[in-house]
Amino acid sequence: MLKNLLKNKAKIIEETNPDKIYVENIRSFFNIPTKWAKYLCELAVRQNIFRKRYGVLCKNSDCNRIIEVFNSQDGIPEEVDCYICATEGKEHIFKKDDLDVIEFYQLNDVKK
Amino acid sequence: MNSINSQDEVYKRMVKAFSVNASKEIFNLQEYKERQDELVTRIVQTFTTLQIETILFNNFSLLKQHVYIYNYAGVLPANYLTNHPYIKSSTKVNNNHTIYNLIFPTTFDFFNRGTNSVNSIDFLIPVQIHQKGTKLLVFINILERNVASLISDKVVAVNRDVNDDTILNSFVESTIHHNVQLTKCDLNKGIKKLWADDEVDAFKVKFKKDKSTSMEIMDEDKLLKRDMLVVYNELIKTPLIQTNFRVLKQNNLINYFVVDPSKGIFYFSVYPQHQSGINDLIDLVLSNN
Repeated sequence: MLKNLLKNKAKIIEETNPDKIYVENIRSFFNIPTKWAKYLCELAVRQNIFRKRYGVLCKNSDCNRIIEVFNSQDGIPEEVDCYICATEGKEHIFKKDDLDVIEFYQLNDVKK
Repeated sequence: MNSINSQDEVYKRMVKAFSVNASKEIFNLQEYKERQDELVTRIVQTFTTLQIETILFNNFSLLKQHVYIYNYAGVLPANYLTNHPYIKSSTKVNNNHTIYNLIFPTTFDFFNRGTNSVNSIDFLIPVQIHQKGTKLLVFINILERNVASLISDKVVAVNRDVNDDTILNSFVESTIHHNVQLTKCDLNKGIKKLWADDEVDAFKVKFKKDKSTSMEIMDEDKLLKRDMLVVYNELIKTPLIQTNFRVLKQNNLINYFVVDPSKGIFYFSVYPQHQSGINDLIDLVLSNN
């Protein structure tokens, strides 16, 4: 499967943003169960093909954007501020523990 | 409950519309290190209500506010708005530009769980209207008071009797009386020109498509035109609805703003940093419209 991932790397780059690869992108690309796709992504991290990132999601249901991205869960500060919600006068400063975190992966050999 | 609606208390709540830093600056109280509650008490004890109103209206552009822009057809008489029940003052800047200052009283009713009774608390909403050429610009201070933080008992079911629509309707009614027609000013052209010139870029945009309304909310600090040019090229041909912009070039305006170009409404929900930044931004949009 990992060989398959490497073989299809060019196609993945073409079809998805190599800076933001979600497990669901891999699942639908290979048409495999989510559990396998997750395993494949973690394997790719161990093989240094992917690196894992943690995106903090805004708590406001009509926003839900990724406010900021971190290299590890520990790197997330105690408070996170969504400046988009601030411009709309909505609640915008959230406690770390109240926020959902979305995991995604980035291709390691992509120059930013 | 009487004391909470005394003139001093109501004016204190109105002065709280300014940030602490702005209050210190405009009332010349920079040497005081007080918190906001002590600072507003000092202001109402030091200044008369007339002085407070004058300082407030001279510094209106430092308030959080919604701005409604109208075109009007017909001739507004010179005494337009001067007979409005809530008019406080007016200033003729030049033959083409008159500013009207109004203060709307509003009452919030709420159920007080401590006393098991319905109580009310009064607020004042400052409103400034600029009659400029064939445009009417209505600046309404955002009244974002948390009643629960002002009452020691637990409060529920808060209702207010005046909102932006009630305020706007009071002008629309008086224009009908003068046989003048007000229409919302479409700002799509002016906003899109600033966007095309990279004066601004959006981090959230809502726009009309053929069969749906679409919205893009940018992750992290991404900007729509800079990071999603294909989408920008598509949406720039459509009517923009509520869109949040970052100002990129002119650093004496404001940093962020929200605008609904199709309805002619600006929303400034963050304290403006620069005196007259809001007015200058609106002038820039209108001069390109």
